[in-house]
Amino acid sequence: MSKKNVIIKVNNLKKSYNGFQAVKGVTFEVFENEIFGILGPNGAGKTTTVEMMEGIRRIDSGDIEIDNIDIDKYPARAKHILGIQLQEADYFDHLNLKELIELFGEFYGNKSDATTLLKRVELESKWKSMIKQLSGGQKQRLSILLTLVSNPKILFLDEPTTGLDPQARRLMWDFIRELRDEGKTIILTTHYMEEAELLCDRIAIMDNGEILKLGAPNDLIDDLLKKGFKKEVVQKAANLEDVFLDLTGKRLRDK
Amino acid sequence: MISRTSLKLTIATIKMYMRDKRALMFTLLIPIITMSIFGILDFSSSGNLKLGIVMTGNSNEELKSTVDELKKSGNFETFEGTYDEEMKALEEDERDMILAFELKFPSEEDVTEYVKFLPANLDILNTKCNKDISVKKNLDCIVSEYIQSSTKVEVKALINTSSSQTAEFALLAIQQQFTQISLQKAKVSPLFEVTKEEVNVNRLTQLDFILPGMIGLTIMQAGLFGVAGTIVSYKEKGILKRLFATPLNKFDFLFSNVITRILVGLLQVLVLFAYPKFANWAISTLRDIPMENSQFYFTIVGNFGELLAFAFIGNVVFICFGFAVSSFAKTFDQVQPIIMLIQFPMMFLSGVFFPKEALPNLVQKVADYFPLTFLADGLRLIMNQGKTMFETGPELIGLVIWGVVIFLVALKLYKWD
Repeated sequence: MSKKNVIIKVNNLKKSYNGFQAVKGVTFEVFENEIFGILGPNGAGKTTTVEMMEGIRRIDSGDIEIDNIDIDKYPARAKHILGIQLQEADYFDHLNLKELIELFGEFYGNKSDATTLLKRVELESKWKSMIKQLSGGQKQRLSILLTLVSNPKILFLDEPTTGLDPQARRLMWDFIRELRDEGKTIILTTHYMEEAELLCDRIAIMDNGEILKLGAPNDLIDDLLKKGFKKEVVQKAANLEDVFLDLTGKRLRDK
Repeated sequence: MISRTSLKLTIATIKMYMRDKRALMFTLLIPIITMSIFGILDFSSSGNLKLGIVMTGNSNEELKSTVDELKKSGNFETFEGTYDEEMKALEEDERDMILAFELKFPSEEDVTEYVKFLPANLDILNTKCNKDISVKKNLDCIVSEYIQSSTKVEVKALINTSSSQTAEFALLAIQQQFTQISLQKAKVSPLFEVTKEEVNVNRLTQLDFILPGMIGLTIMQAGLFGVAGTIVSYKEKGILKRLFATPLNKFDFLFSNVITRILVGLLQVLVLFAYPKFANWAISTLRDIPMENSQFYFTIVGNFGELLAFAFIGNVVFICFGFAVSSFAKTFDQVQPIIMLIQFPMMFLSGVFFPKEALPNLVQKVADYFPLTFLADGLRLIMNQGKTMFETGPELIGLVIWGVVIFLVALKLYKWD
């Protein structure tokens, strides 16, 4: 790839809660049009870092520039170019999907085409349903869809495939790649290493509020191998998931 | 000022509210149920007073007619039985009062005394007895006339302590009736003549007192539970966080919620007025009685618009309270005890169900400053005394001060996550 444009600059970012330093001065850049993964065990500081980047958590010190906007100073302006999917967020109970999408569009000041959006995640037949009537996978797809109502430049996806069956997960990966190919920048947090390896252009591995390593997944693996690392068990050319998908097919189950 | 976003969100919020069947049912049903209970209980009238009548010994025409009148008056549910039967019923709380009637004839000694002091010339006595017949017969006649005129009806009233207040009022009325009969019989005109004239303006029915209180109470509950419950559940489910991950600003969010709550409050107040009006009409039509005699009768002396305006101010104040509660409660489970803590003292001390004059002095002084007291009292002044909103004075000022203070507290404390 040719020279990349930096779209997000994070510089010496710090945050503490009641004396506990959750983020201890992290610095990194995200390029335009890449899938950037943030990985780390629970409590590593990923969510705090991401939430500060999303403008929903105040910054203690350091700064974040999103497409040349200082997010801590102008969160409202920055939010117009962001699409944010939260892991444990719920939505209004008594609106149907179409109404919900249109309402979210209103928050960005634009009319959204609910039908087209629903088609993208294969939920077009559910437009009249309420959130409560959706399955876990459908809900997850809807929550991604809702980040797209404003056609944002940058997407934040927080564990977008957690709780999905293998079929749905694979389709979600395809969808996320498709979004990148449309020109969006995607910041993704995940616990699945396979997902990060297959999906992310670059990843940052965090622990204890610090970034331990940053780079393309393949480069990181190569670095490890160069250090003389050897896996105890040599993997077979296929794994159990391949067996599962071979038996059950790749078709999405809860359209 | 009002953005397109806040307008759209308001419409969506109202839509969600109307679709939430359970919430809607509670909004409208609770006032209706409470009103119905008050209609059925009907504290003020002694109409259901259960009166046991015991006749001991002989009876005469006068006693019979008096008792008949008592039965026919329709003021009591009357029962007749022996002393023991009625006493048993009273002990079982089946009677509020027993009236035991007994004729007391003058004793033989009294008669002898009377005869002894009769003047020699009986003609000077003002009697109905025929003066032409023999002295002996004339004397018998005079004596029997004396016995008749000196016969007293002894009435013993036994009052059930559990209903002593209503029973005592009833007894007072009965005593008055008996005095009237005695005076008539003695052909004496009463020394004092009290004429009663009912001035209709301030003739308060039970509902005239209860209704403003009920409106205040409903507004308080809707504000506290409605606002705090909704917002905290949004917080708990992460809806709030998700909303503010969009450019939606907090003002638009608050605006839409406040408007929705104000409309809900208005709807409730209208139901609270419409329901007794309807019940009133239904009862008076079905039972064929004048409207004034139905338990649901009430009058609005003041201006209805002023009444709604004052209720609106109260509504805004309690919406602020709701926001204040939602600022420090993190989960729905925390909301309930906090609201109970605010609600309970006001429910019982603000003079909603019974006049606060019944409270101990010190408690009453504190309760005078409760926001619900200001609201209920102000509504009463407008509804019962025909004052305007601004004439209520302290009530309006007190309410506004509460609103401003709570609003500032909510603003200062507010935590969005």
